[in-house]
Amino acid sequence: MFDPRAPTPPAPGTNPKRDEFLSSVRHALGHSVVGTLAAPAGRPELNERLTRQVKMGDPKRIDRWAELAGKTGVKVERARSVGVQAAIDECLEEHKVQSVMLNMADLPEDNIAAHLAARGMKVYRWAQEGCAEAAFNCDASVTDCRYGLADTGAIMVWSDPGFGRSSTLTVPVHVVLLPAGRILADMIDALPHVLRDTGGRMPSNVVIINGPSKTADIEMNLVTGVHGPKFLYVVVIED
Amino acid sequence: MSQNKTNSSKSFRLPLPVFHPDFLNEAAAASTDKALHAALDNSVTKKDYGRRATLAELPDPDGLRELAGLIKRFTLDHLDYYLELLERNVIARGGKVHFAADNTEANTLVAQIARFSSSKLAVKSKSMVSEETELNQALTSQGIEVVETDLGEFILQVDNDHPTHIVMPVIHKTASDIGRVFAKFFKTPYTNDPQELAEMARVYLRDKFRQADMGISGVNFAVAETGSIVICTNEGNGRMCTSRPRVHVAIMGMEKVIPSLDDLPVFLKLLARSASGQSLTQYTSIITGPRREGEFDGPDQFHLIIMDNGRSKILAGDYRDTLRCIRCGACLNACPIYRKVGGRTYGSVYPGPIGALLTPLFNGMENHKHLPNATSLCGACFEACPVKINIPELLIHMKEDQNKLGITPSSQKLLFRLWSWGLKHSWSYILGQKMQKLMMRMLMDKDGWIKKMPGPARGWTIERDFPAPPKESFRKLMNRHQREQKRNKKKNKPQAQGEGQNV
Repeated sequence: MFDPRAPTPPAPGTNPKRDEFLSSVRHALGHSVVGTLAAPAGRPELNERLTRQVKMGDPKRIDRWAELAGKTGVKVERARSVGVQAAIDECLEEHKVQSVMLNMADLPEDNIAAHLAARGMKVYRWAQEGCAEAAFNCDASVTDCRYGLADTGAIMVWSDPGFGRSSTLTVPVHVVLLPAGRILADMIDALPHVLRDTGGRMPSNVVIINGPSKTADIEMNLVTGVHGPKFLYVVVIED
Repeated sequence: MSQNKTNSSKSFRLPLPVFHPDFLNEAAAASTDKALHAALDNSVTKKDYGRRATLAELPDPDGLRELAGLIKRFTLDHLDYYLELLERNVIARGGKVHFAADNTEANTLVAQIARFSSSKLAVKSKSMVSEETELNQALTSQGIEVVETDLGEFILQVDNDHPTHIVMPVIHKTASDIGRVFAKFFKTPYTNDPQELAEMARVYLRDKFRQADMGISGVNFAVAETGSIVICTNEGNGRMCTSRPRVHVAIMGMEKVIPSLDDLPVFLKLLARSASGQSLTQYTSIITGPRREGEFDGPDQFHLIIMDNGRSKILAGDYRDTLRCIRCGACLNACPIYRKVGGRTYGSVYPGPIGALLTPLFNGMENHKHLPNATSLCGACFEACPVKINIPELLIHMKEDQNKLGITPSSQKLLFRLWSWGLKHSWSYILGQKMQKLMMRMLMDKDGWIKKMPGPARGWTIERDFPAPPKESFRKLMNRHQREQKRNKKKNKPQAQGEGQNV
């Protein structure tokens, strides 16, 4: 898992503040203050009877996902792949969108780009000079996501050279494409999937998104769209 | 403000800031503040219901809380190992790790990172640790502008106020209060519409996000095996602070570490439910180092500051379990005392039952004598705690420690000595009861109420009348009843049995 060329902690004695800090922790625990520590045994067992809410492969997980996502404020559209462009149009229509950041991690985006451009929208793509700034100024974004999580109705995204942090964050309207096959039963399945998909190396930024940006700080009144997207649409592609 | 009386060393600073030292006077004022009670009923009480409802979605909520507590205990028992593992993995992913022994060192580190990276403007997402260190003042005094970006924290910063709840920082202010604060700050016409107020802040902060050099965040969990930090937010400001600026500084108390990514769902499934009755916060960011090569956004530098500030002292003693706390605020919401007096009354950054423990532990029991008494020992906090910290038991233990240290007031000592003597023999107990009843009936008015109690019992009758005990005590009635029953049984045995069968 570890890159042998990766930087390592300072050698003992080169950073006295650090050594002092760590030895005070060892001291507090009554452990020996010198020497390397061995991995402790007896870690509490993660019993799935306690941690799992949805059975792996549960056939009802797609319906469950859609129901719970709706409760968190997501507008869920269900479409077949031929109807995806129409579904995107429907999401964008009421917001008078003129500029769109288009950013896909896995799904093809050329057809959607051509379609949106034909509808008169200015289309920006990720992985180009100035794309983060463009995402800050766009009226909306259309992206895919890595997984859906059926225990809460959330989606999961992560950053890599082809997929930005901003494209799911700095726009007022966010439209997400989610192939139904990507809906996992439970959060406890999702995190191992991240490591598996990325060769055991956590991406720099993984985000579980559980609805539109919101706050209730002012007298518990619900306000959506504080810093992140005010409107979150997810198009579930069912074939 | 937090400068202590001790003059011996000028730089001495208590680990936690002290906003006021006097729980009792503040509590007396807060307990008659109707506006505060309305605000608390509307927020914390509702969140307490929300917690119960969403926890019930889990297959075995109690078992999961038990597991979360065990994981935290295990990690704390091996904190030296997990801190070194965390350090190694953060560094391996291109991050820098800094260790701060106390609040002043933590602030100095942030200021140094700002200076080395030529950062002039910092945007900040919510962090309780930064409240401990009073980071904003420290940075401002170094010429670094720092802007809170959580809506609640932003309101407090603009109004120069402190949070009164761990996760709902501004519940003590009404929309009208906030309207006045914003009208003055933005120089715009007054409004108390939450949508409009939030929009004003959003527009202002969006510009700050665009310009900021540095983003400062707290840490909800640090995953040792992957070198990741986890931040849970609802507004998205945490994501903004860690995506736009060139430098990301995350600050954590050293107890925030958990062993592995597999442990994380245990806590994520409990945190938002316990804090706000959500199944998960809107955004859960798992951040591992700075941006990677080829990525188009994200910070170039990632710094993790791990702070002690008194925690190793707590780790070594009888109160290690308090370090399990994941700062969800559930014990505040469940506490009958917090619900009546609000967060300001507790005098420092951590209010409520957990604050009643943490503040004396961090700052010294002699500096917060009354706080361990800010409890009814009803156990609601223990029942609410997602990591099963036995707060009531620890509070009792703290009172014992206070007694040993000689900081229990002598009047209280005398009272308890009398009490324990009285409870030792049945005759003294009965005598005590009789005397109590006699005295209270002397104070009673013609309708059977006591309007004013004397001496130390005065507090009972400031806000309400006290019902006087009836002429005959329960003990007396019971004795008579039993005597009569015996007599009846002897008199007509067969008849009584027959009656019993019919019932």
